[in-house]
Amino acid sequence: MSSGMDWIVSIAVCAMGIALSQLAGKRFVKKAAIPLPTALPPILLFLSLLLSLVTILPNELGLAEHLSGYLLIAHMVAGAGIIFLTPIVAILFCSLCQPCIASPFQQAARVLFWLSLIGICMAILTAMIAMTPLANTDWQHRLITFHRIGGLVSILAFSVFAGNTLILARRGKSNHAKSKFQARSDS
Amino acid sequence: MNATLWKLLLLPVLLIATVASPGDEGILQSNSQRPYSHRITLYDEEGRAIDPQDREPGLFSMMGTCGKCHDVSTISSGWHFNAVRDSVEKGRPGEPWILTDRRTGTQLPMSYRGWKGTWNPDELGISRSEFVRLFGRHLPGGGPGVPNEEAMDDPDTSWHATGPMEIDCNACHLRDRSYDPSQRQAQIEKGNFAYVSIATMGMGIVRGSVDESAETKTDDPLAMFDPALEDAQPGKVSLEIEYDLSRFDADDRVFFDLTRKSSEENCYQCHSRHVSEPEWASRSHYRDEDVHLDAGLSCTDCHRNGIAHDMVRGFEDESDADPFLQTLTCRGCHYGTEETANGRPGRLGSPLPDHHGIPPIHFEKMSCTSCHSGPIPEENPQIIQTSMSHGLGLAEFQTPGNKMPYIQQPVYIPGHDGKLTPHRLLWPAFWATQLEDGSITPILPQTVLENAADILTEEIEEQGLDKTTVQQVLETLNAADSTGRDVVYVSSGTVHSLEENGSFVTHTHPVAEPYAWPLAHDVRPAGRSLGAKGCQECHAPDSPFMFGNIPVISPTSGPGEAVRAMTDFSGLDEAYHTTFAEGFRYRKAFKVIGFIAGGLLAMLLLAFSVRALIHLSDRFGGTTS
Repeated sequence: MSSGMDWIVSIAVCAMGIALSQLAGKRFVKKAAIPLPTALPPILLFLSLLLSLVTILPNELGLAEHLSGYLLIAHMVAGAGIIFLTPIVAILFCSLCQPCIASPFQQAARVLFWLSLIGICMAILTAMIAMTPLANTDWQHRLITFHRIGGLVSILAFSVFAGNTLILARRGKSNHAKSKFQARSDS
Repeated sequence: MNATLWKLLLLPVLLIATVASPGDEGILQSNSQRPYSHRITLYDEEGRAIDPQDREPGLFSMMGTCGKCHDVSTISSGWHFNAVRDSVEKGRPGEPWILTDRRTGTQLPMSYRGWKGTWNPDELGISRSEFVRLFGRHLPGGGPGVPNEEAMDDPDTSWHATGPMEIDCNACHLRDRSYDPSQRQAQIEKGNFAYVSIATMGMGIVRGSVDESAETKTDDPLAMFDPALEDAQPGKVSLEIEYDLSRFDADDRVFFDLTRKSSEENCYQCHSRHVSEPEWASRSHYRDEDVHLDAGLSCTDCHRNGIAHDMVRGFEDESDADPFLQTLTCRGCHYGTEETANGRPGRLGSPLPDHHGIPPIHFEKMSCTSCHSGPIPEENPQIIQTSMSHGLGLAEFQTPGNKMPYIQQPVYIPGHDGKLTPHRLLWPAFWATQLEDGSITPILPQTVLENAADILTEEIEEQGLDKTTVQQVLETLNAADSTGRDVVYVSSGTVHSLEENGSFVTHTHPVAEPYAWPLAHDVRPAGRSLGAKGCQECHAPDSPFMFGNIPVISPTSGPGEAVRAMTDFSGLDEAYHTTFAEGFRYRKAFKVIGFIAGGLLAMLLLAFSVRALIHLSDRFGGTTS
């Protein structure tokens, strides 16, 4: 796979993410804090993505020729986490991350959310297709490239979104404390 | 007829005469794709034409005859003949000559090429003529069969009597099936090295022997079935040649049905294999040929050679100097190479492999032969016999199974390029002396027998060596060795010796490690390759490919007594691959969940993409709400 193709795919993924974050309908969402239980899946997903990144780092930095050995097993464990958590996160946050009139998320976080969803979707499907007897050797190489691009885009993008979620969750926690304090004062 | 027409008619005759005339014009060549019809006069070594009706006709010389037109000096540098030349690169390890003696429990891999793990016959004290007597049955001549002038003239050697064993061109190039390799063995046994070519192609009968000790009742290997010969007394017959006059035409020329490309039958003279285990041997008729032969190719379609007879061995990285060689590897033929065909695949009609669903890392870590060649690995490797090691092809009563030397296949070991490659493997076994620095030098079987024949009896030969026998022989040989060197017995991957107090000990040593050489045939088609039934053919905790057992089979240990794990040879991390293989139990579930998750995400993205399109339509189309 040429590096030109890498760039084209990467740019296409980014463009799709931005387009979705800007154009996927428009609805009013109450600007509210995120409850902590709701914030948990994106945080876990971020950790899974981080683990998958760490395992692939020696390979990406040219320190290892292949992803193999126990790093590969760790990468697959992280992959399992991503497969379980991403649909949950997507369902929980899709509406909140539309170009809302009053979204609790920052504009950048909303863009990156869609970007990471596209990246993860690409990474999952390419990995799964590669495990089936569908792709020949040339396509296996392409799938590995798409998997890598999808994975790298999603980890970079999702880290911002997860950070934003954590901030909102903390704000929710403090709002909750404030409201409890307010209620006690009123009584 | 006018003068011009005469000239035209004479022109081809003149041309042929010009080309055919001996002299400095160069080598005679036809340069046609049709092989030249070899109806030729026979010559002796001195270059004199042979008259078969002479009272004492000359001795046909292959070099003297073929050398009239072919550059035999260049040919003799070819792979099949150059092992004894110091200047030749040793190349990838190949099948050794195995010095085998059941009575002394010896199976010693030897090679003049210096492959690691083999012993040079010269250094062991085996003279070249002795080597020919041992292995000439499967030597195509040349190499150790042709001594230098000094050795030839040396009265202490037997060369002046036996003559050289010249390269026998007919062994490979004779197209008809009249070539008889068993006659080669018959002549070599009698020391008639120089008479091999006449006898093998049936051009005449060689009577008598240069070897005074040889009994020369008859050369017919099937003569034992004739009751009339039972009482006949063998005796010394004076050496003489009786040419078969029916092979000669009126001009004393002989027709040789020669082909440039050897047939696979000819290659099989020396490169046959036979699974010796009884359960396999009885099913040998179910065995398929190499898929390439079944497809109509011959060995020499890939294993080619030019006049230098430098056979293409067909492995990757065989030569950096000639990129063309890469087109004759598995990869080069099936995928094409950039250097010679701009990456065009399909040489010789080879199918382009798709390898659907196989992660590309397999092609970087494993050779093509890992999945496609040799037998499918089972819990224990097969024990096989080969032409070179077991004398296949000669008419002798075969005892099924348990016939030394014990060669096992397939054993997966990293090859010269680091890729996992199926190998054949032999555990060396031999008596030896060990110096204080630890170096070990083999003792030849006849030397062992000279001192310990009363212990190593014929019954022992039948039963095989046991620990007590080895101990007794060690005591005897140690007592007989006046130099003070320790006598040891190498077998089963260890060195057996006696302590000063007489106790029997074993220890490891590099020379006791097995010798292995890559196997490439028979090639199985895609549908019968390893992994065709799924990943778990290899990635399973009980997969023979990963976790098979290699019995340490040697004269002192029967099958199953000692076992080494396949991972000891493959270098694969057993703990990791067991863990990895366990993961494959859940692979199907993982894939289903993965596809569901990926599908959900894709649907969600699609749904929002539709909404984005509607939004665009709203914005630019000027609609509602």
